[in-house]
Amino acid sequence: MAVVWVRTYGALSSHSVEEGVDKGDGAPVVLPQRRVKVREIFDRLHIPEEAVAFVAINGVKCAKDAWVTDEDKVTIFPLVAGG
Amino acid sequence: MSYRWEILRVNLSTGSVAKEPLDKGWTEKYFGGRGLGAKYLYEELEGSIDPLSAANKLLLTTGPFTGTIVPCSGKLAILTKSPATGAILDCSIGGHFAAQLKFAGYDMLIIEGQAESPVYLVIDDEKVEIRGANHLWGRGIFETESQLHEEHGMEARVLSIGPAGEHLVPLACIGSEYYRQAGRGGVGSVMGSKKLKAIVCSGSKDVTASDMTRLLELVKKAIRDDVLTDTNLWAHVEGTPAIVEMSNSSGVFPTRNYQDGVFEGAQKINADRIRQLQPKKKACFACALGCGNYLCMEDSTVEGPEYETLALTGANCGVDDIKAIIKFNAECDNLGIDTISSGNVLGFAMEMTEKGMKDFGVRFGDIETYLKMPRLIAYREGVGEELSHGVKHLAKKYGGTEFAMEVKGLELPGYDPRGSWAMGLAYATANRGGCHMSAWPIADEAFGELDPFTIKGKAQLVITGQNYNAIKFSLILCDFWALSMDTMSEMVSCVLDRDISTTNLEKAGERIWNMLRLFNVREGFEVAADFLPTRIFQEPLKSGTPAGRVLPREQFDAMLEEYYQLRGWDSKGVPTPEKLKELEM
Repeated sequence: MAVVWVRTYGALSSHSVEEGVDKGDGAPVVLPQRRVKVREIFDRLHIPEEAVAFVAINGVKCAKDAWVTDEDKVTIFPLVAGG
Repeated sequence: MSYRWEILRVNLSTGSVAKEPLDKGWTEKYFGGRGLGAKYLYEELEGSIDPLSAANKLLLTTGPFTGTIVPCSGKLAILTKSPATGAILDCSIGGHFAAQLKFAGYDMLIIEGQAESPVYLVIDDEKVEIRGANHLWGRGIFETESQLHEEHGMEARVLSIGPAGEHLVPLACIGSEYYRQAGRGGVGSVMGSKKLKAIVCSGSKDVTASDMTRLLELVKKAIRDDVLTDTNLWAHVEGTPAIVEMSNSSGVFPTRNYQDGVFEGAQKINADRIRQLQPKKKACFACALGCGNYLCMEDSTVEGPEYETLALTGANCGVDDIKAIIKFNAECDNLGIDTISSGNVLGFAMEMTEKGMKDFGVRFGDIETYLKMPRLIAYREGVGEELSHGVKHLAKKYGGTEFAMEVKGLELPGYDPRGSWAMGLAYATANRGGCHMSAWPIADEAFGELDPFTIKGKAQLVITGQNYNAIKFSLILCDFWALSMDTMSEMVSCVLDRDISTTNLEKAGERIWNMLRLFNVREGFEVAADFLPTRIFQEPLKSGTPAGRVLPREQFDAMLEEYYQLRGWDSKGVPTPEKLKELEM
């Protein structure tokens, strides 16, 4: 089992709210395995992978197939426009 | 048709006010905003004029969507020759002024000459007056705007400058609705050089669309399916502070004058921290997104801080205290100073001081001194006199050119090109200098899935972005609405009386970009000006994903050469006669 802390931004926040995930500072998602790939967290939160543009683990940008382990902080962003 | 077909021309030297027809032929090629303003500026200004002389002009342009119900169409474009760079300068400012100008009956306002003593301009439909502004001169933007609302009513919309513009500081901006700015390139000092403190505008006329029924349908559909989407909604939910997390996680968050791309204090100044301060939302005219974070904290009120302010006046100055950043931001807004450039100037001065190259009395993270700087810069007092001239000037005078983070004299925004190579090309080729509003390829590279450390395909990526923004900002649609050319084409065909295809818009985007370039070519800008600071080429980033990376000089040169070829320009970066003919220029 692993607990990862997930923070979602923009419209993706609504997905995490459904799962009881705090859309503020991040909230725990309990996973049955010791480690999972980031895209499995998308599935868990019902976030379509194509809606995700950017993921970071512990403040460092990562690929969607990167591994997440216990106590990692995962940040998920949608596509953004402008600047 | 949504044009009013009228230009208001005000000459402050002679005191004359004239109305004249908008050039129909030029609207068909350049539409409005950035493009039409660039065309008029190119045709009306002589080359090599002093930007702070009476010969310079200030053009305030609306677009074909201004004043209509089209979402995210509330901005005003302001064009002039920049006193910071000597290049063309196009800024945009949100709020409600642009719609009021259109409601008053004007597509464009051209301000010429220089008044002998402080004045302000009052536009109330056909009634236009130049009034004395001695009672306003010397006041901050907040106080000026409040006073003008007392005199002209709350419905009137105001543009004004603060002390920085009055003192001709090249970092001076124009403010509106207290907390919004046309920020870059010293646009406020051009207004100051004309002794024009403010413009007040009220309008009571209508704006029509050729096919209102179809426009209503499209707008309803756009708001439902295209505006409030995953791609855009972040602008409402978190606003631009959300970019702090992405930028820092990608290692491109300018830290201590771009010495690093990861700021250890980022968590203290990100969107989550701002959310804890419980901002209220604020929107521009006709906007469904409402990206503004309106924050009141102790004695400071700001609409922001926006990402660029958090990056440049925060991490770039080694400041991780959100309250200090808000206070600095509010000071800049009131004094009329651009936060991007001032954050760069301070970052540069801090590095110079810490390296012992020149003691400006400011150090990274020294909040007490940092908070004194906006006032000193705006009034050009003490160390502020030197700092007010900008990074390029400081480096030329005191050294440190290799870490002077500017392009063409305009200080860089908050994305390090060593971790996003296309962003480097976008900065180098932006017509107004170090600018993120011409193209934003970082969304595809550091914030997306394209490899940021290759030049393959990047010249075309930058060109596509530049042409897209050129037409988008000429129709005047906000940066935060990521809409397709097809949607733009459908909508603009509804407000004008002709079908305007996607191909037509794409060609217009390219034409407008070339128009901006022609202005700069006339001013002597060529290949040597399409360059980046030495630090980007030679000093590797220290942390995060791009640790150890530079943008290698030879890779940059190859990318620039390909860019010129794809643009149809010669090896000096000058548009060829064949290209200009193809674009019907």
